[in-house]
Amino acid sequence: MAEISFRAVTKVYGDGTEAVTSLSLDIGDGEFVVLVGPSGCGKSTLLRMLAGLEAITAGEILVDGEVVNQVHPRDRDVAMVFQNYALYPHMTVFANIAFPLRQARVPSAEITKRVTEVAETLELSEHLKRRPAALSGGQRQRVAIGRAIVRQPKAFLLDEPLSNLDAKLRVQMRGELAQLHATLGVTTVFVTHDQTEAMTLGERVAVLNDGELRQVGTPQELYHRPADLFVAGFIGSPSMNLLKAQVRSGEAPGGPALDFGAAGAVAVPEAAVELCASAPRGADLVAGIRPESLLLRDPEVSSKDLPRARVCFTELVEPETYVHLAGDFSGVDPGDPDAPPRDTLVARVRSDRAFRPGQEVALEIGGTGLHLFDIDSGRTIR
Amino acid sequence: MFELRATWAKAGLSILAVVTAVTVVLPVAWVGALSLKTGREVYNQKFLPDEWVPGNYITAWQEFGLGGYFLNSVFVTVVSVVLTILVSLLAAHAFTWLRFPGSDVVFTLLLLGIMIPPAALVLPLLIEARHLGFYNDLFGLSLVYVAFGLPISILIFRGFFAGIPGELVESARLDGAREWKILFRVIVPVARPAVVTVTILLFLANWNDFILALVLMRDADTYTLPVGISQFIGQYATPHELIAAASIIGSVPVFILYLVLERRFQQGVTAGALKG
Ligand SMILES: Nc1ncnc2c1ncn2[C@@H]1O[C@H](COP(=O)(O)OP(=O)(O)OP(=O)(O)O)[C@@H](O)[C@H]1O
Ligand SMILES: [Mg+2]
Repeated sequence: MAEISFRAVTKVYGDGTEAVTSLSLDIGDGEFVVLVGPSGCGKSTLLRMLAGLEAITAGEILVDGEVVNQVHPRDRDVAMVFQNYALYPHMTVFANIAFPLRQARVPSAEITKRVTEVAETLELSEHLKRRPAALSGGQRQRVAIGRAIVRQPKAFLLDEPLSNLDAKLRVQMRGELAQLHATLGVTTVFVTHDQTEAMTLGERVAVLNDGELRQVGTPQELYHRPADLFVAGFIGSPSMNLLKAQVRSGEAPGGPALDFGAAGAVAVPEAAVELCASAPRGADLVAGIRPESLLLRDPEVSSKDLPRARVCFTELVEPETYVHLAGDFSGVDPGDPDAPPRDTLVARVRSDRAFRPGQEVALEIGGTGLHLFDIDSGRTIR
Repeated sequence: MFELRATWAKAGLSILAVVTAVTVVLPVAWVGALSLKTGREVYNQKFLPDEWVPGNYITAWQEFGLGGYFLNSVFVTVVSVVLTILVSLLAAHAFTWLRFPGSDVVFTLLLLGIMIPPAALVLPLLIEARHLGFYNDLFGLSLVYVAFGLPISILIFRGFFAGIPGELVESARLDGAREWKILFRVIVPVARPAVVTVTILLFLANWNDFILALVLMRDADTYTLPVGISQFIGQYATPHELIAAASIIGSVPVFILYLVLERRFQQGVTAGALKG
């Protein structure tokens, strides 16, 4: 078990690609940290530097307080599960799991004992004599994990280990990984580009974009107090609605209002009154509204001033419906290269409410899901 | 219409295959038939002998003293093939997985070795061998074969290694394996088809080599089979039937090696290394 620190770590590849930029992050002993970010943001690079498979261009990586920049991967005592498993194809499952022990010259009776134990934990006992080619994807993945845990390393590094499993198996393996971590208590760094996976697994989640660390925090912190526009747009499913807006004093007696320009203005909810008070009046900024905080009202009975939108289509995700809406809003791109263009709004409502495509609705904001961001820097206004 | 064309194509291909096979097999069969004729029948127009003389093989073995040449050939070939394979595996491993500054330049230089035919180097090699004490020495001859075999086998191994996922090597490193263990425990088993191919290739080349062995060996007791047999081509009389028998004897080991290794030549050993 070990503490891991990244200190201003930078990686520039031979062709000039800057994959990681001056990144600092501390991981506590026994912690389960998830690195999440869109494809190509430098997650694998970071993990590979920690494993010693990639040279560090600048900065330091410390394991248990010792700089390991120059330590050979063989001597770092970390185990890694690769994105593609990298099982030894000519060896049986037993030999694959035993490989690290063989290298460490563990006596063969002890090897048999430990491999058998690990195989039992991972439900691989029946397959020990098989070769990887004769295993299913989930079984191969378990062998890869078995090979990692069999020697009780200082840290586990997992690079998108679940990305090639089908949805059901992925959820199951997620649970098993969490449980395994609870039992073994080994420091674990888990890489994924799937924010749902990150949010369900991590004690702490580090969000990366473009080689930079955007925010580290618990899943709750990331969801409720995103540090910037990118994190706000990346975390959460469906994504937060990001719209250009201005704060002005509301005519309504409730206090400040959000003005969406052509679409109209809407009063801010109780919870956000204080926030809006600290925001600059009359200047362009970005309003972020969680889909569950976007309230859909009947236009017939609600105030005429409320912004209007038209239903484009609905997605039923029991017990909720995601209602996709179009209106006179200008969407803002949070800078996530994987994200689709945001020209529509999404509202999350209970599935017993029916919406037809083409139907008009009035919009209100409720609850705690309103955030404001500086339009230039993308920083959250608090 | 399409089926008709496919049939024609198939027929055409079959004819081509038969012609090729006949072209390849005919000279061998001819030498085989020749080796069973009597001395007088050699210039006979007939393909098959009138009188079968299997005894030619024993005569050739004894009169030519093939036993000694045979042992020399086995020694030189086995030593050179084993050394070449070992050295080129190590080199290919370094070129593929331990890239160092300038490794591409070194690799390119190495490939020049393939482009120069051994015959062009015979004279300088002879002088060099005399100075280095390789001349008239079986081990020295083996080393010369190693030198000529290295470029092509490194090229083939590196080409094959490049297709092996790098994560296998990285994973083995993280599992605590040293480089030579990674090479022989992980890479070589996966690269077995390439090792078999190169072994057959080198064995064939070194076993059959004539020119280098002829130039670099002085004494009759250091001759390899091809050189030894060639000694019996006389100025006035040449025992063609015995030379044919000796040639057949000389080709048996290559044939056996091919049969043995061919069975081990398993494709698709990488299956299952990766997910999906
Ligand atoms: N060997 C390399 N040489 C040059 N550039 C590289 C190399 N490996 C990765 N990169 C670049 O570095 C950046 C980060 O790559 P990395 O593999 O770390 O991304 P990632 O976050 O793991 O992405 P993914 O989710 O797709 O696996 C990318 O722009 C990538 O193109
Ligand atoms: Mg990656």
